[in-house]
Amino acid sequence: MTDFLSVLVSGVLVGTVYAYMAYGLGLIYGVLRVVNLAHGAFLTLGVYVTWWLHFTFGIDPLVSLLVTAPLGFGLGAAVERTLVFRLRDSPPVTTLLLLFGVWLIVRNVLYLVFGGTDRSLLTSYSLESLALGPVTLSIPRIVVSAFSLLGFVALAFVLKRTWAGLALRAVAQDRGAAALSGIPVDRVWATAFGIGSALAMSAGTLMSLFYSVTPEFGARFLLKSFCVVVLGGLTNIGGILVAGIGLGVAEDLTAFYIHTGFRDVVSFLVLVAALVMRRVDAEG
Amino acid sequence: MVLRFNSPRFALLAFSALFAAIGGTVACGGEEGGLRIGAALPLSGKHANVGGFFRNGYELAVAEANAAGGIEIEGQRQSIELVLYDDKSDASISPSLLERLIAVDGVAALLSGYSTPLVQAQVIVPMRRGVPFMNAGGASQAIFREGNEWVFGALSPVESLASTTLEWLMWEQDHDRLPAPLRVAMVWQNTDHGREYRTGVHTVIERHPDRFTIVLDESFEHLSSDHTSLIVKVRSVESDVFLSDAHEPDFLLQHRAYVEQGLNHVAVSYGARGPERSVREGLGEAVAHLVSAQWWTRDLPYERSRQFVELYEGEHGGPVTEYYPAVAYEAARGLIAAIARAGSTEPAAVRDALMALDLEDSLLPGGRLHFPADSRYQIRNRCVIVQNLPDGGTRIVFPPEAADGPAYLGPGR
Repeated sequence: MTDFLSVLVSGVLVGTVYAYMAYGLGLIYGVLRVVNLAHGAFLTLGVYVTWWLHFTFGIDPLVSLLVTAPLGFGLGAAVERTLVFRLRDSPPVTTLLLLFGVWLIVRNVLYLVFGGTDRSLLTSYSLESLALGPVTLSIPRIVVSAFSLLGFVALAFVLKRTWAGLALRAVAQDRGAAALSGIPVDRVWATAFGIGSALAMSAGTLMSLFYSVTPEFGARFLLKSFCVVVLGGLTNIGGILVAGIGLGVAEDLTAFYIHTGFRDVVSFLVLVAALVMRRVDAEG
Repeated sequence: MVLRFNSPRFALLAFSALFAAIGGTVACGGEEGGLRIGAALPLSGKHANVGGFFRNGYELAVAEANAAGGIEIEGQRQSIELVLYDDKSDASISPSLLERLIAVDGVAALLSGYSTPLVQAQVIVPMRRGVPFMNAGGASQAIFREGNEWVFGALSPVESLASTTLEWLMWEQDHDRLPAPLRVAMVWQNTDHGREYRTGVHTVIERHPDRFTIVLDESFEHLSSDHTSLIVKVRSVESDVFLSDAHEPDFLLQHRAYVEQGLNHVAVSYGARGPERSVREGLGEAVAHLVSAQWWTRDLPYERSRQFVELYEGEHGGPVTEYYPAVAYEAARGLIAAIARAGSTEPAAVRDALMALDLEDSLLPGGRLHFPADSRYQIRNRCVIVQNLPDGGTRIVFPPEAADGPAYLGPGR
């Protein structure tokens, strides 16, 4: 029973990380109908900026959020204004390739600046854990889970309770109708891309608490983010949270009770199943 | 002058432009016109850091040989020129750079790049072209194929990491510091490296079934997003020794989970991982007492090893904490020694000299550089077992003739 509880809790904690790194991808797809292949680049940048701030100035990763989130917003909005916006009426594959190009550029710049060595950081609480009866919980993972839930609440509040959120939802539902009713669609697009990128970079910051980073870091987690977004519903933030947790738990239980080697297979089985189910739904 | 598309001059220019585009810069050491040896190294991209260590090691060996007057080839003393290309850590580029080294630069022999996948891609070229190739960058036995006679390995097989670790544990049992049988939990990365580590463990245990009992034998995927469930599984089997073969990102995540879950074993080893500076940066004091098997360490009490440390640290600053430059240096030194003994740059003569080479002043553990035919010309030396100390240093704990103190053994279950 102790083992089951340990694995279950670990799955929930990992799942909230998956959810946090997928929020931005879901938001951008929801509003712009763009699959942001540069998402992995923003995740990786988040880890590197955090590592650099910690290594150079000794800044705690959680404090770094004050830098990485606004930086992510600015970079994301700039990418949208200078690149994505120009291709707004092109076929989706054009934007897909463009953002893939952005990712490759960022990756290569990171290789030039930081090299290919694994970089990781150590804080006073990096290896701390909390014993709750027979179950041991990692403090950094609890912190990241708390931020994931906080991110979900904040995002839900913005989307449901603010004018900006209303505008985002309006553009997501019908760009033309939103424009006719006076919503500045161009600005909403930039805002959505900025928020999505800010979420990705801040996810990178939080992930730096337990993952090491190389310029390939984003590739490692981009596919996982896709799985979560597809499973949770492409535009549904609440669904993404539930899907992230569900995936984390499924992976950990599979790894423990069946075989550790099947851990990643779960993600892709889920992805395929979700895509097939959606197809059936659409046709039904 | 008109340059036609079908002219040889255009073809030469296009060929040069293509290689300039894919191969990056060329670095040379020694005087031009001498004997040439070459390598395609990962000087940029994901293995750039290790590639730099390899370049330093190769350059040091060449500089040393040149300082001693070069080598005698067919009655004439010649200096050695090292020709290096950057393969950008890309296995699809690396073989074409070796082709260029042979066809355009006219190298007499090749030195390897780094990482098993890159070296696996490289070895096809020397085997097809019949050029001696000295490998210091890939330990996997998959590199040394059936019928191989051109590829020589200065890095002992991955199996040696496992077998030396178990030999050390048996030595501790023989000295009544550990009980027998020991319950071993083993996890391994699902790659050639991990599979060979597992084979090494099984080979020793099959020979000594009274010494060890395997209670967990499980693979995990490279770059896993979490290792907690695996570590909980390790906890559930109640073992004395925890062995894992993992590359750095998985090692960092796995040992984090190990510490978080509060596990205790008498000995914990992650293959070759442990003493690296980057590991200390990521895990701090949590890596104290980890035991690792190394292909070389700076504390080895051999004269050649001490000379290398002095030379290397004098040239590049120190301390040299990684095995890469030492093995690269030794591989290049062995290759140069073989060419000198052959007294010729003729490939078959150099190959035969490498087959017969037996340097007894090697800096590698065991002190011998020799390529046995029965291991397809891959060196078969034992590794050296090193334990991390709480103060950030390391200590050799095995083999006994090189050990500088007893190992710290954990409290266990």
